[in-house]
Amino acid sequence: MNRRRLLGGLAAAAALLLASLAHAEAPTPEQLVQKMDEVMTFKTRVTDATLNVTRDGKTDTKTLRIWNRGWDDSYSEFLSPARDKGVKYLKLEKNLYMFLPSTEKVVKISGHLLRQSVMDSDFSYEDMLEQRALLQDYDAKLLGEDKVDGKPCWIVDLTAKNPGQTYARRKMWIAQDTYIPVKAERYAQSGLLLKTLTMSDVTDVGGRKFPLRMVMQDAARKGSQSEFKMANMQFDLALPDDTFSRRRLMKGD
Amino acid sequence: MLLRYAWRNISRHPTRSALTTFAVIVSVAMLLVGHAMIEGLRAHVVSEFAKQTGDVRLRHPDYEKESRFDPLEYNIDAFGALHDRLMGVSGVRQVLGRIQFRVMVQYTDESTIVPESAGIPEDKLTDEQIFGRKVVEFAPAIGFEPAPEREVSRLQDRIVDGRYFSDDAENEVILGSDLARRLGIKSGVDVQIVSYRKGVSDIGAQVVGVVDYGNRFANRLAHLPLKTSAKLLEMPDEVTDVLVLGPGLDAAGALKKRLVDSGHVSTLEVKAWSEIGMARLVSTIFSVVLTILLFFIVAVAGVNLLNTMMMTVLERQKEIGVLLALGMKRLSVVKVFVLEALAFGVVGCIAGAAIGSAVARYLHENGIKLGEGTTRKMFVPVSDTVHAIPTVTGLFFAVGVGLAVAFLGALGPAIRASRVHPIEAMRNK
Repeated sequence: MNRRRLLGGLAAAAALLLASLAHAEAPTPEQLVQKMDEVMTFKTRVTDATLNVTRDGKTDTKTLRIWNRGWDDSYSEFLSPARDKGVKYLKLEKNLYMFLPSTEKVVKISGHLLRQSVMDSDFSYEDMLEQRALLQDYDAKLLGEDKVDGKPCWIVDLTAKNPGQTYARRKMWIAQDTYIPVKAERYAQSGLLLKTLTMSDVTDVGGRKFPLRMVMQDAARKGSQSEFKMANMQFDLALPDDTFSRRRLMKGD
Repeated sequence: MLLRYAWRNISRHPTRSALTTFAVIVSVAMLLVGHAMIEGLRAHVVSEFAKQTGDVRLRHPDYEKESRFDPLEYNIDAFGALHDRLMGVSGVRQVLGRIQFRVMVQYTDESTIVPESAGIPEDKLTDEQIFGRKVVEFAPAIGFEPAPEREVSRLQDRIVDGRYFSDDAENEVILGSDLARRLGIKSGVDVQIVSYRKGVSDIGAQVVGVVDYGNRFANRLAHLPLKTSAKLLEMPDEVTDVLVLGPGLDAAGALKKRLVDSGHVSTLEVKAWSEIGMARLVSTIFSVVLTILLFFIVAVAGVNLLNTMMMTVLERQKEIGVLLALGMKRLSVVKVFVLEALAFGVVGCIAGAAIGSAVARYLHENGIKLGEGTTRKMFVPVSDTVHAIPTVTGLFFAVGVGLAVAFLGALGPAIRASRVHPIEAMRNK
């Protein structure tokens, strides 16, 4: 009888322990988003990229080189095709500048222009200006679990704290093994799906897992999708001080 | 005899008769001038509208439903070949290609730039000190061929600063006066024209002229030569609108039929100017305005005449009683009053027509300034100076309405007067 009680007590204790361990493994939505931000953030990054914009079955390909300092600052230069060669973008925190080689003038992308597409792609300038620290602007809620391409993910729902955000709501599928947001849906205040972004081709780059392929679909552009593929990616290089310089952009270097 | 009697009555109260005649004169003159002004305004708006559409306009069949977004993907390609084919259609005088699109116009004031040689670190400098002071305006734009459009759009007549495009113009721009004012620039200044179609592309252009349409919407336009627009938008030999000009606006329907029958425009939307939404709206607006004007003038003249005739009848009750007692027929009493009224009507109409025609003629030659606020908010670029167009129809219309009002205004009181019993009428004090 005593042995039976002892065994029963042990079983109950084991069940409690397992339950508490399982509870400890399920992170809060805030923790998930924070972890995702850590995975996707870097000190510096230099990469070559190809932007394939497919619309009505026709694909336009553009190549570019990008320098990043964290998520705040970036400098990108289009290398091809000929019509876009020499176009450069400089992003300094929330400011975005564009150098146009034909007139050798700089245009500050602001106001009405922010909603326009970048190089006729499904990405908008507002998308370019996105800050990674999502928790500052959104309240997170864990919706459950799902699988994307056979891989288990957490689904996190983000609702904008203030009405001024580009997207009122976001739904993200965060991979449970890598914390990479493999899929993200962006919604308007009305609940209308505006854009869908998927990230794939997760590769080991300098000891860290990073997605090399992003595909954006703007629901307003029927039959359109933009694929952004990165290659020759390098992290945490020491970049010259003037890499993210307005004067450098002005000179078109 | 009745006529003589009627005339005697008129001459018995010269002031009252003069006032009644004056009311008819004013009414007929107002009607004539009002008709001529509305005709002038209608013709002006229609001709301005036709400058946007030609006699017949061709577009891609899907352009219209997306027109709010300037859908450049719904364009007409191989315009050069289409132009040559259409010029072979009977009655076609001119074929013009245009591109309607949207641009960002940027002016850079480089005087604010601090040179690198000044040695000031970049983080101490503002954007203005590095890139120059930028003034940016988003605007609707139109690309057209400067030489053939010279006599069609008559843009050169509205230039208030600078000049019209040179014939082989390239990288020149003419700005609407509101757009130029917002940018804070005049002719001779270089600007950057940026298109955000297919990403961002730009050209540098010199502002050669500033144009004032007297209309808020049109004054926000940027005008570019067609080949500059085509280069900016990467639309070689493509246009959004083809304007076909023929014998005249009245023959647009027949011209449209010939174009359709030619088989050259089978894949396009073909519309005569009068079938285009705005033209129908303009026509309806003018019909409503003309009806309202007519109603007010008729009401004023009619009430005036009615009042006078009522007074006449009431004052002459005793006299009517005597006439009826002496055996005058009731119909004759009606005739006397109607003749009196028609006398006012005829004299008033002749004088009113003469005065109205003279005023309308003057307004035809010199025009009338309606004030900027009147036309500035219209969707069609309409000048605020409108020239009246006096017509024979307008003359007959005004005289006809004058006589009808005089007749009808007198009929009621006259019938009433004829129905009074002679004894009752003679008792009346």
